[in-house]
Amino acid sequence: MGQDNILHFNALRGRIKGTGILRTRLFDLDETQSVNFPLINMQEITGKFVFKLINFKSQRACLELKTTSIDEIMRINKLVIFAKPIFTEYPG
Amino acid sequence: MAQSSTVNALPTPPIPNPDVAEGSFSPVPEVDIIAALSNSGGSFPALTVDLDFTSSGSVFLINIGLETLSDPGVNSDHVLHITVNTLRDFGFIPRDVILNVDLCAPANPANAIVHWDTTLIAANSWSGSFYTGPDITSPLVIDLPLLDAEVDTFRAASGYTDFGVFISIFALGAGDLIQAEFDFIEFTCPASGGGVPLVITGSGGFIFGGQGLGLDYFVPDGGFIFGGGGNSVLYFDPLEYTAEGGFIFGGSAGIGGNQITGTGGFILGGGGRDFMILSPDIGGIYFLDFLATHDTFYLRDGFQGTEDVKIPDPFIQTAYLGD
Repeated sequence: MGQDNILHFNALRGRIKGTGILRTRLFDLDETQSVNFPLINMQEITGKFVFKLINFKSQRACLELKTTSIDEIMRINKLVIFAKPIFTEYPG
Repeated sequence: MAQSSTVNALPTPPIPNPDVAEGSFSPVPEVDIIAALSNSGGSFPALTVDLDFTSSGSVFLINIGLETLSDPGVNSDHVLHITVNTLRDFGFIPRDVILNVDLCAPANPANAIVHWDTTLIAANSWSGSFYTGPDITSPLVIDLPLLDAEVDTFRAASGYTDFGVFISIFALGAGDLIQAEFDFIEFTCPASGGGVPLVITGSGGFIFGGQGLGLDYFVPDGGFIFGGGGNSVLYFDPLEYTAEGGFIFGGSAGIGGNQITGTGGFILGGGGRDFMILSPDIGGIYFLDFLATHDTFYLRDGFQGTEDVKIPDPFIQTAYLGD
């Protein structure tokens, strides 16, 4: 750890409820690249965790979650980001 | 046919003499229906009728249609548009034809406020010539361009009331024969009322300075008016936006005031005589409600209630994740 390896972010799992559409994405340092998760249609009663796949490789990743329409709300109690180191360095 | 009641001292019309060959004696209009006679045609007697009549004579023809109109206004191109429908003509030799158009106050039809003499209007607009034969079915359309001075003259002199429109056709040459029947004389002037507006019909843009009379306005979104309508008390001459955005700086002195009928925008200065309108206006006091999932504004336009708007894209961003 602490080697700033290049990670493969591949999935999101969370306890997400609400109304409307939750828009999530990952972006790297300085937002040089970003990728959107599939849209999450939020509901007040779900009975399960939300699980979404993604394919994003970077040394760092920031997760953004947002809504864009009136009267959309989100309640998030737990988030798990799945990641795995795949490279140690970028080519010199 | 109803007779006209607006006449001056009437000359006694000569009695038609059917035994005399055409063209050999003094003008004798033979008309089916004589409404009245006046002297609006100089030395020629003039016939004022509303609708159908037939006239024949050896020297001249006078056909005069009269319509009383509300203020005909002036269209943006300053053109009076006159249409004569269903003209019949038999045996007329077009020579020295003059079309006279007078605009008169109905109370004084003999005195034209504005008078036009247009020669050979028939030759130009009447399929090239009069002819012997059946009806000329195509309407005779006469467009008379007006100068600004003429516009001002007849509008100001009339006091913005009704107008009488006299259409006279003279054939001055001896031996000219004509029988003509006017079924209907129609006088139209588009965009009646008001002065010449300044209009921007595309999006955006602005009017810098305004028209003295009439309406200054934008049809679409955006833009602004800087300065504006004059001080006519006879015209509804506000500065007006009909769509969203923009603002009015300075204002109208006339009745009606300034108004923005779309959303947003603002007015600096206002109507000199009446009111200002701002509606609707989503600007106002922000109202915070912890239980609401949206923002709320109080509308400031006469306190018309509240309007809900969305919170601008609420979001969460985590710290950077990594090893």
